[in-house]
Amino acid sequence: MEYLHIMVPVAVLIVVAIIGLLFWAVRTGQFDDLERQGYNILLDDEAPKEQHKATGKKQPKP
Amino acid sequence: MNNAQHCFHCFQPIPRGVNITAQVAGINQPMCCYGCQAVTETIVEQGLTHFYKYRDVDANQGPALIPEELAGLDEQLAAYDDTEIQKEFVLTQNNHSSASLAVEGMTCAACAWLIERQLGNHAGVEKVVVNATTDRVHVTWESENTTLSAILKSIHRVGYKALPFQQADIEEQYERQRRSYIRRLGVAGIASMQTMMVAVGLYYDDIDSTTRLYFWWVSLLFTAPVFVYSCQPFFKNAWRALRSKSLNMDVPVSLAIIFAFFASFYATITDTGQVYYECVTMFAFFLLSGRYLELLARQKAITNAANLMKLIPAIAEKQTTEGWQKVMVKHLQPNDIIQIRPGEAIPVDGLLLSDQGWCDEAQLTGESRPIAKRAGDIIYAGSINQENPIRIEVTHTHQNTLLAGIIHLQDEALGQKPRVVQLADRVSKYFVLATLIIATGTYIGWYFVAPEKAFWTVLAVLVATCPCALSLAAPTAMSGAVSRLNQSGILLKQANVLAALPPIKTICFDKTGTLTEGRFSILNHWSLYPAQQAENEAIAAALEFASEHPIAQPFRRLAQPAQLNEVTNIPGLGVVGSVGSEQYRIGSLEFIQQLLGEIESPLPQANVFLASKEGLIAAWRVDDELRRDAEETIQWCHAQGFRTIMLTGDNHERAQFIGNQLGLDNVHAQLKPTDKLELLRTLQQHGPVLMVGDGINDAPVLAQANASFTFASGSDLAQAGSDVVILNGELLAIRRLFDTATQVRKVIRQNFAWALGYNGIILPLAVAGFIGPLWAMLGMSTSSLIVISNSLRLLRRQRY
Repeated sequence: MEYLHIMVPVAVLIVVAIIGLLFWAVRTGQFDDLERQGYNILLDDEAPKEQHKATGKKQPKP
Repeated sequence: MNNAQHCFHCFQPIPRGVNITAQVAGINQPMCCYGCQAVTETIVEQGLTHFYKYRDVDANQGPALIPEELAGLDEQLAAYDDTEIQKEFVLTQNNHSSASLAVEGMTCAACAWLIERQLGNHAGVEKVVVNATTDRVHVTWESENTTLSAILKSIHRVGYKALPFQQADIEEQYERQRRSYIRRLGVAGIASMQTMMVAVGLYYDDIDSTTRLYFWWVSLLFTAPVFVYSCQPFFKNAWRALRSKSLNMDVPVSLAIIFAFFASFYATITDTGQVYYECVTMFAFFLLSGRYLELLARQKAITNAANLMKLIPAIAEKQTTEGWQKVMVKHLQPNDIIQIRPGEAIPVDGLLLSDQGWCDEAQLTGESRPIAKRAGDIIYAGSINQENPIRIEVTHTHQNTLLAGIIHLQDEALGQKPRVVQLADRVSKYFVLATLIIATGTYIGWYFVAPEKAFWTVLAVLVATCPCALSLAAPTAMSGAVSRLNQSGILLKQANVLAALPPIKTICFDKTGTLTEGRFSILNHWSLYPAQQAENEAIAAALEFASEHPIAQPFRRLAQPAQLNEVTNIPGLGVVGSVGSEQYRIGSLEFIQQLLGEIESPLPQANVFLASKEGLIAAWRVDDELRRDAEETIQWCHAQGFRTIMLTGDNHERAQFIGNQLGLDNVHAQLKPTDKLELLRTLQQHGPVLMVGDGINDAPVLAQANASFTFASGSDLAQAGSDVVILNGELLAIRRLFDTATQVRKVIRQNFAWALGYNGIILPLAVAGFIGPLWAMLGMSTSSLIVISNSLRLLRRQRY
């Protein structure tokens, strides 16, 4: 049963760390807008490529 | 019109003859107007075409803003750069300014991204955060390098309207509350996981006593923060209720938590009895989640309402010895002379000095057609100048205008609004009282029978009968319904309205802007040679571009205008112009008769005619069109046995025409706001009434009615007085609301039946001592979960 005497305090420390992380996330506004951040990965993904295309088109071919 | 073709950007049908395209990702996409084309080109240029791929094209989200309307706004934006006006909403710290703006037309996360990117590319903008949940932009910029108006214009260029708004005082408080709830919820959630884990170990009987005590202390360590921190809102609420000598749900909740915690604490210290730490943490977690969801629904309603309160700088152009000067409206005095441009709202009551003008008073009176005003006529604040700049002499300043009178009437009506008594509130109050009495009785009873069991039995009674399920019965059903309605574009400002709807049997409608679209469109047409219809439309479009009369508007979108040689606008009558060598005139029948002598109208109720020297070649009927779903809605109302009544300020003839067309039960026309209010109060004596309206003149009745709906396109004042704002512009939302209200009532009754039934069975068992606190906790949680799951059924979308 000795391992319990080590593992449980470790669990307590992890819990404290997680709660600290949660408080930090709330304070910095990570929970303010849950809808849209998920989209950024989709929208930002190919954006640079699109820009290339757009600028590429403008240059008249010789 | 060709319905198959829709604008790629705004989804509006494309007018005949218009052939504009914009290249998006290498494909030419159809556009309805140059405004949309400009927006699309801006988006493509900035490399933001992803927007089109990921945007939400759900038809329920309401129509996109028409860029043409935005273009007209740009001129007025300069006023926002005034430091006097910026004081109200801009925070400036050595050269860095920041402001929150409400955005209109934002329907999805892709829109938010688009705006963020567009502003990110704007020179001088330091930081921009777009929140898709609240429809707001928070922007920080360098005052040296850019101006607020430039930022607003930049947002307009991608097709959204952004303006500063009046932030509700309560909002900040809600935001703080929301954040603190997340923290409390997080602590309770994590702690309940840990205590449950430890509790599982404690369930085994073969655990040695040292380990058991060790586990108790560990549980105590996890539970203490929940008790001290997470449970605070319950204690505070309970204390507040007790101090004002009343009872609420939180009183027995707090008692149960306090008893369970201190009993366990005592057991841990003395190493005797039982611990119920996991009960405390789980109980707190479940309760907090319910509260959090409720708070979110309320916060959403409040931010939406605040977004509607736009801060529009009230600026007027005043005549001074040095010419026209811009001044704040609140500084205007009677006898000042001010100038109003076309399309602008008139800020104060006054006398017309110009020879003539056209004013749209639909918002004030319900009259659907613009009113012709001659010099010396009274111009009312709140009406909109339609043509030519006009000059007026101020007669009444801000507080004394007709508009202010209507606002006062609304405030008064709001005070008299019949209140919805919440069944849940009443039931719970008595229930809480009964629980406390029974718990006390149980303790006294057990004290004489078996004193050592008395405490644990009372704890079981309190936990088992915790009105948790009962307190969740109504709010969860309400939140479920509110959230579903929100998704389908219906905003509930008062969740209470769902409780008010079922007994309603009378529905009153406003006409202009409610049953009808509130803007002119071509309803019918006639051509001498049907083959030439397209040609005639091109001529009409060209001629009407010269006219500023509002009736000319729909013609401009009808077709690509023909090439005109010369054109003369004769105000009040029509337009003369030449296409090629042929001269045409368009206008009223009277105007055509001046040219051709006595002729008959070939189309009943036609009011716009096109003629050449040879004779009449085309005629149109232009009027305020019925809403697309007006007929279906009224039919549904009648099928459900509702009495339908029209209350309008418009004249008898037009009101009766629409009334007959839709088959309304009663039509009351030419009503002033006070008449409407009077009529509504009479109707209310026979039973509750629902009012649907959108104008300023409807605001008092909307406030007085038992329930009231308005449209997002309606006046701010109407929105302020209504319980429900229909964002998707569908009249059929009425049906959805009634259906939802009936369902909510059914679900609430089921929940009550369950909660009361469960408590009725568990209470005697707990009192008799058959149920320990642990089983009581499990039973209570299951009961709550059943109630929540039942309410969540409301979240499912309706099929239509």
